[in-house]
Amino acid sequence: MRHLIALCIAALLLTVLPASHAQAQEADTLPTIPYYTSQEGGRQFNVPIPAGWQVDDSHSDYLRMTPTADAETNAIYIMALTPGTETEEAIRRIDDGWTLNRRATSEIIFDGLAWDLSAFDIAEGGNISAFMQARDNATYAVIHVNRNAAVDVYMMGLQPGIGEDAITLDDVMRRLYPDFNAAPDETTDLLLGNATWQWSAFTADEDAFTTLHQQRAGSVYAIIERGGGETVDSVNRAIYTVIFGFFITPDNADFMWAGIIASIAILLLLIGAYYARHRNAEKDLQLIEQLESES
Amino acid sequence: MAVSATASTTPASGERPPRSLIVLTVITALSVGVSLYLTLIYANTDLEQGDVQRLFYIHMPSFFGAFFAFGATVLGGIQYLRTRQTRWDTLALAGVEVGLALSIINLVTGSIWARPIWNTWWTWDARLTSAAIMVLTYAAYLMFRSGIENPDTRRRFASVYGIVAITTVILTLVIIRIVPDTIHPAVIGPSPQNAEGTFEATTNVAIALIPNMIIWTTIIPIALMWWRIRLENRLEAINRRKIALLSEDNT
Repeated sequence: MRHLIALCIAALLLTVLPASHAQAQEADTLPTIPYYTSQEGGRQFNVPIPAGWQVDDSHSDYLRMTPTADAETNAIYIMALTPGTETEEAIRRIDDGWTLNRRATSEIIFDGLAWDLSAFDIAEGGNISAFMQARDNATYAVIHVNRNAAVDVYMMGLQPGIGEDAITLDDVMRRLYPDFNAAPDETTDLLLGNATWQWSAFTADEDAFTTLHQQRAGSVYAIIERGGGETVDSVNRAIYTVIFGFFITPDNADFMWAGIIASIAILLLLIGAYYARHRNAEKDLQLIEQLESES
Repeated sequence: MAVSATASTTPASGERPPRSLIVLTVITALSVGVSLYLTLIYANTDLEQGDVQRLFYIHMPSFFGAFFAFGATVLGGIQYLRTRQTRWDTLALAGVEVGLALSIINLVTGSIWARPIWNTWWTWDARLTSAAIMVLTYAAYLMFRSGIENPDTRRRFASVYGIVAITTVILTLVIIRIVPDTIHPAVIGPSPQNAEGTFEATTNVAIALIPNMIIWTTIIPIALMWWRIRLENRLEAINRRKIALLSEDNT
């Protein structure tokens, strides 16, 4: 009995030490970017909140993020939708009164995940860059809306097909403005949080264009502003923070239930085996008692 | 004469188990409920792994529960070799059976977790392989044991085997420190470089984990082992009575 008690104490130490060690590890964790986590069960997504932006989760259809300094004209909407939802349908959840004109489409890959990218003009003023991704029995949308009618703001990315030449900024510009043909007036390299980007200023048909783009593995990712370039940097940082940090909590509850049921079933099987052996032993005992009485 | 002496030591068919065992059984049943509550409701959903991560609260404690039960086998084996008292061999046997069940739970939950996280039910990773060897080693204990007819030889063999077999448990425990090329994450200390499916041990995780460790590492194995010891004692007593009856018939 003393040995058993000693063994129990050892087991308790074995129990508590790993867990307390695990808790001690928590103190070493680096500070993390603030994240917003949606509460939609199986369609749960997680999105980082860009620095200087605020979250509005009061709407049931979407999560809205706006820059603190420019909440009226600039916003990013994130939503989890039923599979197969079209981009226009997602945008209409934000405002179903908008008249949308599709300007360009593309497919880009971030961190190995493909997004369908569409650029729209809003006839009532402003424009939209919408990222759509079908995954885990849902469609996820990240939509940037510019409501400032005085400027255009688009996010566009292009990647070359197999055997095609590397994409240039001109290719991206012509995807949005087919007649665009201008050389940059000014170009500067900018070291941002996620890489070195090229800032360029153009003048074409008396319009000023400001672009911030990055060329990577033959593809070009660009934020384009037809205007003075006041918002291009802020929008670039926010969209890339959201897109690169965006992740979906997988819906794998079925596997969890399978594991729980299997664990309980194994325990019940063991208990059942003990019970069956006990019952058989009792039958043996009855037989023995019967034989004893007969003899 | 021999029959009546043995019969007097055989518990009657309907004899109730000791009060302490009944209390422990009730505590165990309630503990399983607590374990499920902590696992399914209290613990937060892991944002990266999803709900399947909750299996961790059973997967790891069940391994340590097996470790505890196999430890009892070592204790029983050593004590049997020293004293030749059959109760220690019974403890060793109970330890193997309960430890084996908990090891299988460990393997099954790990495999089910791996399917969505590693995209495979099984991989011949160092820890998975050593865990499989551990389970097979203890399954072989039961097979070898049942194959030896002479009780003394069987108990001596089982004692030595049970003591030696603990090396497979220790190996499974430490192998991710010895073999760095493993994708199995570690909870105690930093995970290996190639580990996949790691997560942070937050306060919420620790609060859900500690009671689960106590439940699966001590309460469940002790209750099951106790019932198994009681069953074995009964089987032994009935067997002795059967032998006595047969020998009386022969004379």
